[in-house]
Amino acid sequence: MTKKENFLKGFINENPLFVLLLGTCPALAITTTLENALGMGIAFIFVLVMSNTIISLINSFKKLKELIQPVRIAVYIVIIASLVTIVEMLMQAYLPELYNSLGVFISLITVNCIVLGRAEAYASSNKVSDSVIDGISMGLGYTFALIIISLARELLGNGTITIWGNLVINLKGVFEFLHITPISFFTSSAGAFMVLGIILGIMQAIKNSKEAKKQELEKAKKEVK
Amino acid sequence: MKNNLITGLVLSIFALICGLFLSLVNSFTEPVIKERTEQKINDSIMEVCEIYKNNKDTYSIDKESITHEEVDSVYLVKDENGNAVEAIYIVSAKGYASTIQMMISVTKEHKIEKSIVISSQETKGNIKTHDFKMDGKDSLDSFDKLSGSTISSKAVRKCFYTALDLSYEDLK
Amino acid sequence: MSFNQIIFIIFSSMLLENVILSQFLGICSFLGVSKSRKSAVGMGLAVVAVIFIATLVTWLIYNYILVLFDLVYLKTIVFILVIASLVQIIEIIIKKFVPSLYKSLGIYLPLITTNCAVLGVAIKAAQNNLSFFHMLLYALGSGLGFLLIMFIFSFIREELEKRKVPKAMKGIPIALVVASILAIIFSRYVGIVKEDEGEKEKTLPRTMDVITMKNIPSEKYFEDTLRRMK
Repeated sequence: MTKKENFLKGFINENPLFVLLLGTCPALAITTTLENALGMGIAFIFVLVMSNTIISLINSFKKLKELIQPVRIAVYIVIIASLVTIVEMLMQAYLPELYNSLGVFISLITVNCIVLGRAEAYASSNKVSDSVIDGISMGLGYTFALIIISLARELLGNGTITIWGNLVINLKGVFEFLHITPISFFTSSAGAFMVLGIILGIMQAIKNSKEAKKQELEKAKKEVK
Repeated sequence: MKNNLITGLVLSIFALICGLFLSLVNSFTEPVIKERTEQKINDSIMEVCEIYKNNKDTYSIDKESITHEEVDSVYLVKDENGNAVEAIYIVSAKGYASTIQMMISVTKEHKIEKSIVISSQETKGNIKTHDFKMDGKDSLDSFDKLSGSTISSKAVRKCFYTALDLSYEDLK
Repeated sequence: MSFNQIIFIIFSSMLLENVILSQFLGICSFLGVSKSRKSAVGMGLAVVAVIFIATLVTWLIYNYILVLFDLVYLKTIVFILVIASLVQIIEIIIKKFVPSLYKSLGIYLPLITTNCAVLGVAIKAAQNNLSFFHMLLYALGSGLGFLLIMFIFSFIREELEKRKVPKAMKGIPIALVVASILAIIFSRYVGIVKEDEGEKEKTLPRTMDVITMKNIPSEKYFEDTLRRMK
């Protein structure tokens, strides 16, 4: 796999949320505004990149690798948990508003399957540089997924798009012009499940149609032969 | 057995290194967090107390003289002669699984001047839309609109009653 | 704590503030393991046990070690280590004493370490300064809520597998839509329990106030205060 492929895989082909279905808890809980999704994404990228770097560094020393082999999962969890705590403390100090609105879900990055999964499946057996790229790719892919869900939920549920702090795009006028009101269902917990379900359905439909086209092409090729 | 001991030792060494590193980061961030909270409380006092905001020279804020068990902290606004003219209470309303902290200012006539939420663990969507402004006792019923949050209107109302009640003690 | 309050805490943490449907904790295992009824119930029971024990232990550690020594910032790292080792210990104990139970639950136990419901409930119980009994009931209610949803949902999914579903929505997408409908139903369980009987004040959707605040004057005292104000 080239570096470019390695970087691009996180967005569509191996998107951690839409394709691998990992890390669904925060994706449903905090995506009520775009600001939350961005904040969560930044925290997540930091943790993922750092944990991938540290873990692949540790594994690049053969002696150390053998030493931690029996308790490696526990060691990974300790490293991830301390990275998460660092993010938590920095956020509480410099972005207190965001910290309050993300709440318990910052701490829960610790048990997010993506971070531990990447550590075990990729970083433990690959070079440091590749692991960093993998972390950035997966982190950006996850953030991208969060942004899509939060855009849908905030726009349909509240009629606004909160980019950061007081920077809010208010589209309530458009809703009024169309004689409809925003449906607050989408910002509720039930709406979260519904939005993710529909998005996954669309993804699957696209995948299905692509596969059907591929099959047709192959069939045509065979007939030509 | 020996292997188990070694792996246990390795794990605890890792945990220790991480713990030390965390305490290092904590020593940087803790003062910032403290400063922020103090700043926020000062800003909130400005917001809830009109007299102090307009005449900072004549009035002063007494932070430490009174404590009550029912509220988190009490600030008294005093005039030049040292008479308390207004009391500001920080009260927390506890809900089923979260807490909100409110700042309530009570005037000498035992009327609530203004109140704001200073911290909440509620999700943003729930609490931001609710306006906690109120001018007098007539609007005590306005909290019935707290739907969607885990804090009941009753808990919030209790906070106001506590503040009003204590003001009879503090502002004589 | 009165009987009424006990019922109230358990029901509200089980139904109204359900771990899966309203707090979004443990979705990964919710979607992953709910395909068959047997595995869903197995996972649910294991989670009930682990949540209860883990919350109890972490609450004690948080209040009697971390808070006293001013080490609150270490909570995430300590909690996750405690949970991981607890799961290991439970696994060993079950394996030794109840092998038949281990056969049915054993495979789910390692998965629980990374189940965010366990860590989430533990952190929430510690951060919100719940009292000891309140914490116990909260943990129990949350675990039972998880089990209940897993149970109901596994029935629905087994049934869904047999039915004709649009090709694109097959599998997880339709399951999420069903979960959404379940969430709507569960958020309407308001009024199934009331905090105080004979309470005249209007109770609102999802209003919950469990902890009785200290030194709150009686209703009559409020009236007197209001009269004084007039």
